[in-house]
Amino acid sequence: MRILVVEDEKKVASFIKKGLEEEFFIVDVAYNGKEGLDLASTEEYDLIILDIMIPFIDGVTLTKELRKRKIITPILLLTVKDSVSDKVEGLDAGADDYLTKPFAFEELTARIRALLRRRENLMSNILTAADLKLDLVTHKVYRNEKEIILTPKEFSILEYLLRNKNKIVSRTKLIEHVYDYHFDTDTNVIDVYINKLRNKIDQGFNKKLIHTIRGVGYIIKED
Amino acid sequence: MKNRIKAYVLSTRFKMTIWYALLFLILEIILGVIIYYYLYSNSIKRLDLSLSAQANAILHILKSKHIDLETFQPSDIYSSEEDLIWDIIYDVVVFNERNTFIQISTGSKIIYQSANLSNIKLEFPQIKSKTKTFDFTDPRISNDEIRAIQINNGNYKVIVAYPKEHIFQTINSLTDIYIIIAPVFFLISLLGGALISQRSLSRIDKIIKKTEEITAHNLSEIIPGEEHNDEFGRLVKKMNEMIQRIKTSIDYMNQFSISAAHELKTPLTILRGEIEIALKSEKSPAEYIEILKSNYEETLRLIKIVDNLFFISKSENNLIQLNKIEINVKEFLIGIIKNASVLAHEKNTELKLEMNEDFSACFDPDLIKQAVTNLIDNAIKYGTDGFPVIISSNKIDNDKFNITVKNWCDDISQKDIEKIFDRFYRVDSSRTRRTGGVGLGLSVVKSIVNLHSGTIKAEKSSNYIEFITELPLK
Repeated sequence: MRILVVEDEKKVASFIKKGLEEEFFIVDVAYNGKEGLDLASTEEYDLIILDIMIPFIDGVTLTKELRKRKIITPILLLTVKDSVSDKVEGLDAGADDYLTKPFAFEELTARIRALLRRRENLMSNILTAADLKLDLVTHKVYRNEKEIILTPKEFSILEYLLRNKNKIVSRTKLIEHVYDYHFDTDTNVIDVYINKLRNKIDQGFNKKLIHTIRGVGYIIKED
Repeated sequence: MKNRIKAYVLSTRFKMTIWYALLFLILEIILGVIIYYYLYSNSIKRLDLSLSAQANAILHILKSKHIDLETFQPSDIYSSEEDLIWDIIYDVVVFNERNTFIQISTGSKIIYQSANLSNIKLEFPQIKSKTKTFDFTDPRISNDEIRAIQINNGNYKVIVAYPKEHIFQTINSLTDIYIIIAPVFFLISLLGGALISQRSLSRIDKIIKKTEEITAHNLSEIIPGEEHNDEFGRLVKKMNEMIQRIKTSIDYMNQFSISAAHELKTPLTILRGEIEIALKSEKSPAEYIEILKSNYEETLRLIKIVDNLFFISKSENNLIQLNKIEINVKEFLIGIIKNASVLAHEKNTELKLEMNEDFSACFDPDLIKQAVTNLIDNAIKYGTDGFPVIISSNKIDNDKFNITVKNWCDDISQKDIEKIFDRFYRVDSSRTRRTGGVGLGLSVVKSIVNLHSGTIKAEKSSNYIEFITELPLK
């Protein structure tokens, strides 16, 4: 899952990026409102974390602008402003959640998971397909109750496919959601990871879960 | 009920009523006494005048007629004694309608008594003077005190007396009426006093009620009644002004704590976040060192913020002592510029000193150094990269000199200029943070300049901003 962090305090942006990457998220950082607006409107994100007091365009105005441009990506406001009126203003501008600094990192990740669940109408933090289970909190994957060890990138790809279970996911879409914007678009790399995933997940099982749709992309189906 | 009575008795309203009523009563008594004594003395005076007139008239008649009743001889006026007696009765009845007692004697022999004395002899002490007035009582002729006048003239002694009763009837009835009316008036004055104090003090009650409602949370409310131009109106006005002053300082304190919290939150967020990430999973020693370095930087930042807050707070409470010494301004500024040039190099900026004359001034070098350093830091941070920061200092007159710091920058709005010295105010909310500064720098400068009884202002044009500090030379 790919997250945009718009935060002008470099150190804050840096530890958020680092922490989220440890949670297998792909993170892009913008250091001001203009940059944030450019990235949010051109790239595809699953979530945007936005500081309110940022240069050029403040977080609340940026939220309004994104909503005006029909970008429905969940937005979490992250700020030192902790008055009720500030929270109300932010949420009414179109943000989905509000977290005040200094925050507990665990809470930030829990809120991110919650926002992503809501978006996809998920009931729990465990994604499943037949006897395949992916735990979003512990980052552990099981097939038939047996743990499968995945690299972060493999995990991200599997997570994205599972979130879009029974839907065809194009290679481009996969790249957009599991790589940050510094990545040079080369869809072949996806095929390599899919092969690795197949070896770890489907090999030795009768029921194959990852299917290739020729010329389009991939799909995870239970049957 | 008992408490309410007690409260009423203790109230100003009750005291005022009692004072009103007592004052009224005293005035009433004084007035009564004055009127009484005036009427009394006046009446006595008039009575005395009338008595002496009568006595003199009798004497005059006696003398002019040469009457000797003891050895009465018929004359051309009175052919017989009867004539004389009739004349006397006539006197008594016609001229004595007011019941005057008259007694005329020669030596010890009474030669005439008015009929109303019916042989009662009036006795008076011997007097040396010719005329004397007396008060005496004689139950045989009257129950009341009698006023008498005695005139001695040769052998004759004429006494004219009159019971006071008749004259004092008016005064007495007046006193009676007064005794009845005075308590009624006293009661009316009590009621009136109560009513007046009730009316005037009910506004105090309103003020008390409203004052009780006002707490730190609703200081924007006002006590009604300012429109009356009297003592209460002025009281309300002054109280409202006081509430306004309290509100200003509470708002200021709230703003101070909110701003202080904001200022502290950024380094705290970084510390907390970095430490949490460090503890989340195992890192390489190099990564730990990097995190510790960053934590150290943030700790220094926190200390600086706290120091600045403490300084501002102390200076606002007049807790800072100035250690003024005479210093050569040029050498002083060169020293500061030397220290600041490291930061300037990082920003590819040059620091230039422009000074026309060499002079000395008296100030606290530590504090002014901090102020000028803050101004230069500020200029380096916000100035356009590659453009110089110009520091200049000149004598303005025999009392003052200035230190100015000028840097090139983008246009700043007039509104921003006006608020630039406000604590925590930042022209662009993020600029200071991005450059690692603290939003308190200019506030500290202002505090220091104020401590030196100087002034500071910011002047701008479309492409530069100049901070002008004026300080006394001594």
